Amino acid sequence: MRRRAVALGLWLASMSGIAWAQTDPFEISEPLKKALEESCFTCHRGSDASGGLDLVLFPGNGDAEEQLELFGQLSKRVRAVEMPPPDLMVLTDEERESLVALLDQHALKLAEQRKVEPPPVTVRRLSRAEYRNTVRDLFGIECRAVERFPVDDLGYGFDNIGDALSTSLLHLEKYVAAADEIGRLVVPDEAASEPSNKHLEAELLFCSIETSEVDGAVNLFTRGYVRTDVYLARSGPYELRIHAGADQAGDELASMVVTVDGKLVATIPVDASRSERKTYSISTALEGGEHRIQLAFTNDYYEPENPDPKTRDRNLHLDWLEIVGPLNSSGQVPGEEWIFALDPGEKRKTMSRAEPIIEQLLRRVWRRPPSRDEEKRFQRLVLDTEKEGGTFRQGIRNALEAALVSPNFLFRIEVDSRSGEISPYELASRLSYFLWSSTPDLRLLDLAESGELEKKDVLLAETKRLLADERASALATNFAAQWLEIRNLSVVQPDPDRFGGFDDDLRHSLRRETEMLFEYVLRQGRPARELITANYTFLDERLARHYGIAGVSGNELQRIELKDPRRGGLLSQGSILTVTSNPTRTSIVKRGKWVLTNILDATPPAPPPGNDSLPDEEEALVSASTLREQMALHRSKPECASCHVRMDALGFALENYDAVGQWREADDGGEIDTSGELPSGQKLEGVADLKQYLATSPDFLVTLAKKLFVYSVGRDVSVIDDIVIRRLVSELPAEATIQDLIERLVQLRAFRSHS
Amino acid sequence: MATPLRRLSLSRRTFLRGAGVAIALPWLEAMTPALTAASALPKRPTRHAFIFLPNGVKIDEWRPGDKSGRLGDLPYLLEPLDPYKESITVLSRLAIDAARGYQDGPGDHARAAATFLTCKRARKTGGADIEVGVSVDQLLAEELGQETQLRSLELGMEGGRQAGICDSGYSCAYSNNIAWRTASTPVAKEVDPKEVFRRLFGDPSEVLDRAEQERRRDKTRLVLDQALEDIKRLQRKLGPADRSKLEEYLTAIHDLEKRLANADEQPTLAPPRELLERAGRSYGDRLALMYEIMALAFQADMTRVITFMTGNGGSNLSHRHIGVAEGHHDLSHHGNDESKLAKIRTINRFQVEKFAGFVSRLQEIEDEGEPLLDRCAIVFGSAISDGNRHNHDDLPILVAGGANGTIKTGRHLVPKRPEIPAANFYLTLMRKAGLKIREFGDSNDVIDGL
Repeated sequence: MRRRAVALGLWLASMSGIAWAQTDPFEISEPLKKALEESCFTCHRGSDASGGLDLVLFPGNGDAEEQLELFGQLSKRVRAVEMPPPDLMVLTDEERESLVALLDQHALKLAEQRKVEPPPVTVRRLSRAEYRNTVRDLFGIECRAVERFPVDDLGYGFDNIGDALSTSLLHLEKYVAAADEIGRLVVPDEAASEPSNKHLEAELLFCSIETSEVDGAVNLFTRGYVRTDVYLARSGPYELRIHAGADQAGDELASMVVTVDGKLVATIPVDASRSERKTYSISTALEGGEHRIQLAFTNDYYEPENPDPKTRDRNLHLDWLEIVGPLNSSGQVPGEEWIFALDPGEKRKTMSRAEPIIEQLLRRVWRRPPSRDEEKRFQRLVLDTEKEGGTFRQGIRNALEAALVSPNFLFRIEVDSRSGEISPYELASRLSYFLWSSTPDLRLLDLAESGELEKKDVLLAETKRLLADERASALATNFAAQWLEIRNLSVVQPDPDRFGGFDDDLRHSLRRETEMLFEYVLRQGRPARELITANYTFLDERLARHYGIAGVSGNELQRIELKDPRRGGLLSQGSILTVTSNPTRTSIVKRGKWVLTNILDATPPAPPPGNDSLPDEEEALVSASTLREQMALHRSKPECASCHVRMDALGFALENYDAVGQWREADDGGEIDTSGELPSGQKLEGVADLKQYLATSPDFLVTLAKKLFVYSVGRDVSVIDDIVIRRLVSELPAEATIQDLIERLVQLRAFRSHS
Repeated sequence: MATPLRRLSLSRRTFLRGAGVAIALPWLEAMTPALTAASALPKRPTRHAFIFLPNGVKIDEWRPGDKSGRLGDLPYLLEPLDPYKESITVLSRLAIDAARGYQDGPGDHARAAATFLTCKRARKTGGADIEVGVSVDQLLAEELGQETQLRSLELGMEGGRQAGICDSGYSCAYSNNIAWRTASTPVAKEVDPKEVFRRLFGDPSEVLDRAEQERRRDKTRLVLDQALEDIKRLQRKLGPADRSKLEEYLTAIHDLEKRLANADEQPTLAPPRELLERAGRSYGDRLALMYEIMALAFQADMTRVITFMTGNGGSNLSHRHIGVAEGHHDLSHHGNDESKLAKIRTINRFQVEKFAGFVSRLQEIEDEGEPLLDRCAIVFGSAISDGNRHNHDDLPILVAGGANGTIKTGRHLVPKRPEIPAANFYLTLMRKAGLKIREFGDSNDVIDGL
């Protein structure tokens, strides 16, 4: 340990005002006392202790929870190399680790002795993404109504935190509308059946000319048509079959024009003769409902003077018309198939007919088996619908809609239990909403029913299975997009005068680049830190042009090996660089803060009380030319320096990227200077150094693990969770994959308990 | 409940329905002769709206001098309101103490939004235990919102951040909402004017007859009945935090049931669909449309209480549509830079112009023979004074409309003390609306002479 100077007045965030008592109710161990004396007492002692934090006085009034918070903060500031301030005292890595270990030990002991539990997880309303995915996976349909749901408020950076998700009339109205949309698509009024075959004899149809039957067929001897109106229960692909023949004459075949609702479907040259008629077949997609089908003879030919009597007259002979379809599994969406799969049929009385349908419906929609009462109540809903003149199907549809507006669907309910553990069904939902942002599939529900899911090996096997499933893409599009804040791409507004061509296509490509990198690293089992170091990326033509990379064509993002060190890894991606910028310029502080928060597990504390500006607001005072001087000012003020030294160095390292992530060597203020120095004295010269620094930092895996924790459990990381997660990560090799982290997280007690 | 009021409403609504797309015409006069003398009827309650501006304003060009009295020449920012000068009241020296940092440090923008209508401290949290206070609009809605389809209507221009932290450790719930139903439940807002329109007047592409409307409402009731039963069962099995979340849902169900019941009395209006067809996509176009819909909502008596956020707390929207490309929040830290101040001024002036358009519509619309504006109290302002200083005193706040003759308009009010709580103003408004309420937020008095 090397002391540089002694200074008072250093400020320690969020610790002011804590008074330590003379007694030691929390039994701080002797080694910890000694370590605190050596590393902290220079400033944090006595009535004029820095930041009002006097570590000599031991807590008097403070309760165990406050103590835990305090020790959590101490540990965090020490780990972040913010404390002790590096310009006053330099700890070796071993000294720092040892101090952190002592602080953590104390916190663990405290929590255990005083039985401090994290707060219970608050029930979570489905987020927009979860609702959409759930409906997709339950019924096989895209729910467009979700687009009209209000934006979910975020807690701890994620939209699936129960505490921050409120519900009001606006939500309910949208839920009712969504249920109505889903009901209509999944349970249409008409029952599905085998493809129907409507056979219509032509002579029974309306005919536009007066004619007669010849050999059992209508003889269209001049221009004219037959037509019919048919009602189709369902939408889907249909086949129209027409049995016809013709008297041929002239130099072309008799022409039959088929229209549906006035629109041309086919023009058929009828090559069969009157005596050997044949069947002509047309495929066409038809919507459910009423349609007018018309068959017309359009090229009449009559030359009575022709020497060959057989070629004097061209006529069309129509025998019959068949409409067959729909041809795709009888026009059902998957939801309708499974809902009615258990239908015992019309012979049963309504209540008993509805029973198996309702039981399964509620089990799947509510992600748990219904109680007897619930089942009965929903069966009665079907019965009531019938009594009021509706059909059985309408009753089922009403039941479906009621199930979708129920809190049992809209909220991820976790019932209070004495053990503190969640039920196997609730565990199934935690797992599926974590990895898929969607509802558990049947296998998960079955494993919950048998209780198998609670076994460690089964839970792990299921975790692997879910991760291998296509639906795990949600970890990229929902988790990573929030963790890395790139969802904000949809709301940023780069100034078109400076950054022309920043359009929706580019927004989309930028976002996909980041998501695809995450998904690739996840699915290929690459080390998680490759997110930072990757020497490849995902580009389409548009994005490659944006980056100035030649040789990429097409609208599909594809994996591109990079030779240019200026690209590769999250830090060089336009998505992240754009969401951390202002509309007209970059923001060193926003970028530095982004790296601290999302990569280095060192979310900077709020600036000191009394200092009225946010960090990024301070920066806003500054014009580009004096940026460096202003940033230097941060570091000259001790109360700012403890965070800004690091934050600014990280931000400056990215200055070669403009506000939309394009490379630049200069800006309005002249040549870009990306140099900076970390609190440890380590120098950073631009993005390559920064990547190197981040990829080798153990904090990266810790950050990723903590973000996954918050997202999966639905609450903030407590001091104890923090210690547990750091230990979990320390047991993994540096090459650990995202899947390694996930597999360990699902085994944590917090993942399966209420709190 | 067949009060004369209700009967009056009904006949108006029936008329409206018949009028179809002519809703935007001054249709009320035609009815007046057929009705009892308007003076014999109880007055329709005052319609209240609260409109929030993010990031403060260029306050020196907002303040109409430093003396109380009749409004003379209006300062630059308020000039667009000149034609309606006799109908507005500018209040100076209002402050929201709860928006100040004190021990909570930074986060002024989240606090400004959260305290604008609550005047209560917002607990600093990123998620757990969100708490601020019930907002003035929601208290008014409790009293005035019983007969209308919507107890209150919450609108905004920005959905909010989709990731990250909104402001210095405050959950986004604080910066994205100004209406709070309970101390811990914000009321979600709608930000797409077309959706607001559909919500109020139905889908323009789908005109339903009365029988079909009723059939749909019946089905909705059926569905809600089950949800009520489900909540009842769940409440017994859940912990306190979960119960309060389901309580929110229960409240929403009751609100919807009431909407359905009131809608039975009030056929869905034939919507003036051309309104949507001419709507553009720029911020300015959407803002104007939102104001137009607000006027329609009051005219059709769909609601009597509206809150509207022209941007979320700390909004960094770019206002390119008026030639200001920079983010609004970024600019608001102008550091007294002349060019930045000029741009802030442009944004502020633009907002007042659009607001004046709304006031103008309310002036045009007649309500029982009087301008609707006279039956309104439309509060317009910010919970930050100067965006650069983040100060929460000397707030820019004005109210348009005479609130059924209870506000003496056309004046500038400057209290003697250097600052008085904005809560006093809200308390005064609520009393004028007939609420029996003793105090609100950090109120310590009413405002005499409002």
